[in-house]
Amino acid sequence: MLKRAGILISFICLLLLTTSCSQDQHILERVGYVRTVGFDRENENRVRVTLSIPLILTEANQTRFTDEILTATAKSGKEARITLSRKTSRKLLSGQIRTIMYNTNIARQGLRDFMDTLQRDPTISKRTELVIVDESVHNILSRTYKGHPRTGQYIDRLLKKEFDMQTIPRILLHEFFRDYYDDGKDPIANMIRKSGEDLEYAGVALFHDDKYMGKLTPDEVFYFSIMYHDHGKGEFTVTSDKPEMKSVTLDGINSRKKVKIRKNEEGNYIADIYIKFNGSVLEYVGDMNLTSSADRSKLENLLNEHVVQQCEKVVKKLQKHRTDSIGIGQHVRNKMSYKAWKDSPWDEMYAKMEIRVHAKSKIRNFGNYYH
Amino acid sequence: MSIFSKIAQIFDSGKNQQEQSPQGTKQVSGPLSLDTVLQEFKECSDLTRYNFPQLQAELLLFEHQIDMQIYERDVLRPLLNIRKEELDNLLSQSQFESVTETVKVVEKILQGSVALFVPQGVYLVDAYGPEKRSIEQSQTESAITGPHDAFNESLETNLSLIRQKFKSNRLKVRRFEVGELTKTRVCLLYIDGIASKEYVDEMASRIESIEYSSLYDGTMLTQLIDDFPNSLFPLFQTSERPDISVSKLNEGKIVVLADQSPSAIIAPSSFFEFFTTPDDYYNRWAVGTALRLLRYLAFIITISLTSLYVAITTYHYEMIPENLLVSLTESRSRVPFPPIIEALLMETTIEMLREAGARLPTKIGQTIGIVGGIVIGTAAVEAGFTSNILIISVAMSAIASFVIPSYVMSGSIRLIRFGLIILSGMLGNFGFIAGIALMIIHLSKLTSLGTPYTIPAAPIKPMDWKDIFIRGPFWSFHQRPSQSASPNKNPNKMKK
Amino acid sequence: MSHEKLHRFQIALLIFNTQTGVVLFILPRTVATYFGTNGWIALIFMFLPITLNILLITSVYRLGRGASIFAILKSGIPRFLLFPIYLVMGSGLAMVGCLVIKQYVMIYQLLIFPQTPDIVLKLVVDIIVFLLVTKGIYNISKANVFFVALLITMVPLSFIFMKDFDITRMSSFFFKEGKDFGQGFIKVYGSFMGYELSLFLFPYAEKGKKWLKYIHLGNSMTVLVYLLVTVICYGFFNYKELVHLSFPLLDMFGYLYFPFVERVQNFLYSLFLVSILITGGMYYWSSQAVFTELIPRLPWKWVLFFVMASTFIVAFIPKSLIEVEDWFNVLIYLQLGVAIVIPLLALLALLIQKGRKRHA
Repeated sequence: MLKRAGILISFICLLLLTTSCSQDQHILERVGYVRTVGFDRENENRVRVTLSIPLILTEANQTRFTDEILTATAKSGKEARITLSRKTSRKLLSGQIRTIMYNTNIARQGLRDFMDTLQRDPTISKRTELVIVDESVHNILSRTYKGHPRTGQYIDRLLKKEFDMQTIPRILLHEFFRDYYDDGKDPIANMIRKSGEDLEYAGVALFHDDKYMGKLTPDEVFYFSIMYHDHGKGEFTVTSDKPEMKSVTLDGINSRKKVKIRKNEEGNYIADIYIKFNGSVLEYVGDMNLTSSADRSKLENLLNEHVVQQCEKVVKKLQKHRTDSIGIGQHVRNKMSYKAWKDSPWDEMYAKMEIRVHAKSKIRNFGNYYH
Repeated sequence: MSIFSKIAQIFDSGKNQQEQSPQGTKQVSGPLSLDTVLQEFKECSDLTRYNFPQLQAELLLFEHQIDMQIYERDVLRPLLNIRKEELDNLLSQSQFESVTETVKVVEKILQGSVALFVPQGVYLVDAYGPEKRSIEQSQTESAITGPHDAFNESLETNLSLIRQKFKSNRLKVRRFEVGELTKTRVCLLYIDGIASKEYVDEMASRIESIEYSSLYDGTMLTQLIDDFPNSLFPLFQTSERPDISVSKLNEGKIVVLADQSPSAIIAPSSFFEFFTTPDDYYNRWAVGTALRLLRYLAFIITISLTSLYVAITTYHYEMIPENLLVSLTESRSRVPFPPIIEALLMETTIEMLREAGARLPTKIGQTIGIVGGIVIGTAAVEAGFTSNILIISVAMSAIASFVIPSYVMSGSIRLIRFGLIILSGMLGNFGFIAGIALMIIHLSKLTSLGTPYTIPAAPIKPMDWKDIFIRGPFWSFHQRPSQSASPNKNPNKMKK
Repeated sequence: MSHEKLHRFQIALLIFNTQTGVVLFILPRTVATYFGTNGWIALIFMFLPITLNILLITSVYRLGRGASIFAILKSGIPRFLLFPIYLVMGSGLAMVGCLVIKQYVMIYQLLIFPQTPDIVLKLVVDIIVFLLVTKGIYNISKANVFFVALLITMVPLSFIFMKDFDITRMSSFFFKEGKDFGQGFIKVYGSFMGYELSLFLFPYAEKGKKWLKYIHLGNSMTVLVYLLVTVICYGFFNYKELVHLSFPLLDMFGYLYFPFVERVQNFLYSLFLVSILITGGMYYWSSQAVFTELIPRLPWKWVLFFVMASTFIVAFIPKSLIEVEDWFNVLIYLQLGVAIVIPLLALLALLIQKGRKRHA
């Protein structure tokens, strides 16, 4: 009897399921999954939202790949989505958003309002790339780039490649939020720009809390990134006027950074950033012979000097913008008692703090050319 | 209410009628004589009757049931060469068995005896030896290394195959007869001192209590002695290979052989035993282990691949990585049905292909494969009937299902797959996991001859794992599987 | 298969899986909210009171010589006193089982099925739980072995997070910025609940006292898993972010990426269904055990059916996740009551029984 009742209930349940769950179906080809979202400032309290949705049209045996570009002005991103969904034949969904782009005008006033939905909506991935753009996002998204993948994909792949090469810090939504909430670190984001008929990487956007404060140029990014995180790969080139080192390119960079905090006699905190890195020489233009160990260590010293100099320049710039993007604050915090940390004006302290960089390089090998 | 009672009445009356109708042989009455026996075999035109007027002897036999050589040597030649006076002398030879009951004579003639009617009485000579298939390789469980012989339909041959491999007087054989009409002989084999007495008795009582008029095969017998006849899963392992039977006997399990069936039943069995083959033991242990793990992987693939495809394309589009997204959308965009219909369609097609191929001769079977694989596969994608990723997943899960050595188990698993696909189509991942959970709950309930079906995973018997999940080296096998509850613990020593 | 006994390791796994559940997804936030910086250390401290509590339960078994808890209670305490206790205990346990499922289903609704009524999903889970529990405790424990095996496969995933784990993010402050330690203590204690159901396992466990240690083993497994998850969350996010994450573990799973699949949190959260089945199932089973003691004439499967049916109706009342959490806050006290008061009562009953014997 019980068994029969169970079967009956299961049957009713199955019927209920088939009727009720079909509303939540998102059958792959019938939905419009947004790939890229862009925000520009339209006026005081309205933003222009641009969506790029891959569209695959199949008629008979022909398949056409395009991006559907939708744009509207609204007060918030979700409001725009509702307006925009009126314009498209498909249901707009955010589960496949790969890139979110903000114009610097928006970023300068703070991203807090936009971050709310990014955190609240469970369908938005924490692996979404956050990109800051100096020019109009709409202009970047709404055109195609010859010889490149479709725009949304182009931006996504460009950044992914750079992340994988470790030439730029991997900043996804998760990292941005994490550093935003951390009281000892400020978030950063990557930037891109249009360069002729292509797009290119445009450096690191520095944030204080949720506000865009300034940026690092692509040339500075390498020095920033070896202070920001450890490297397992990557390459960089150093050029100088010295005859010993006109140009050196190191490949297979392996770097470790360490931050040490100490107090000087006056009771001020001093940060020492130690960078240890090694790599193999891929190109060397200069008058030394790399086979001799004396020359090699000379080159290493030159490299050290150069890295220290460049890194300190980057640090100065960060301090000028009052953005603690490397996370010196975390280390200072961990040295202090809770009360002292809460009472100290960290932002002021950081701007005036003495931060020294120490570098120690090692040339692993110098390639196939024995000279 | 009234309708139900009426239906019940109809069913009941049907039962009564069946009970009244004569089933099986009638009770034979009357004194034993040639006439009464002939009366019993009325209209059995294949019965042969020989007359020896000088001896006043009559012979009754089924020629196709007996071995002609024995018949000639033991019956025909002596009868032709003797005089009437010598008959008493002849009848005292051991092959002649005197009988007095008609029932027995009828029964024995049916079982291949020659009945001799002489004035002194009625005698039977056992000359059983019908035509049988020679020992061949097994079609369903072919071996690459190791012994290639397989059971055939003759109980004697099968017993001899086991005895040849197991020369010990500890191998005991109990005989039963199942089926009122077929009177199929069933043998229960076990090794005294290794097999648990409790299980042997349990098995014997189950066989004895079968009430079914006809039995044709061992696989049918398993269903008659099952713990859970309604379960999807086979609860006893069946095999055509004598080496499996012998190794299982040695593990302390019971083997049941039925006459006219090449399948031996091994009891008790565990779910995981269906994923083992004797080839594992003929390979080096590392290779054997790898093969075993491969089979478990195949099991996971065959139940999950298509269901996950359905779940993801229907509900969880965000789980698809970027590189796959475009190609998947592209191939899906031409398909007019939702994924669940698409998947069920293709899975059914593949099952039909398999079924068609199984019933046809090998040569035509190949054609079916080509038609199915190339024509339906490619054309279905090109016509926008299915997406090519689904074709891959369906094909992969079909191949994976054939990796599972037991044909019966493979069928059960394929059926479960359909359930999982439907659940995934309705509830996505949630449905899929719910289906898996239901399957696990069902599995945990099952028992095989009263022992847990999921042993050694649950209940946990870690000592058995090295011979179930992996194939450990031979030096690591110190004990028999705990499922067989063997009184003899050490498999390498036979102590009293 | 009444003659079969629960293997002691299976009891450990059963305790482990009853304890873990949806709470794992919320725990890092709870810990961060109430204990603040480096709050995960609180979990280690929590180990002590729970171990003491388990010792209390095991002492009942030791002193009662393996008799079932109901037999012990009956022997020393008058029936009219036991009746209301059983009634409250039985319905409380059933409500816990019901809400565990409700909570799981509501989070599922939030994540994946925003339009599907949660009660439909709950019905599905309830049916599976019903099928599971009607198989009896021995088969529940067998199914549980597979379920735990499925869950344990997630543990290696934590190594992937090691790359994004940074110890400097954990800060050097201890228990700063937390609010209301007392409340936090009860909440975190509540997340370890489940071990108290070992009270009802006495007659089903194997003979002897060896299995009692395995309750501790099950609990230690839970503590380890909780610690692992919480510590990783503290280093993967930071405590301030944790406070703002509804389901930190889901966000962390969401960060996982494989070449063939990404956003696996959906799938992994679905996989937690098997944990919910056991958590809910064990509470329903215990509730059924209590009610069967009250109404021994009704077959236990019918008792279970009525218990589940009535809680199913109650489950219509809370409409939001927050409401469910509020209900839980009340039920924690009831669970604590079962975990502490019932063993104490049983000990009292044993004392009374002993006293009676001496006088007789």
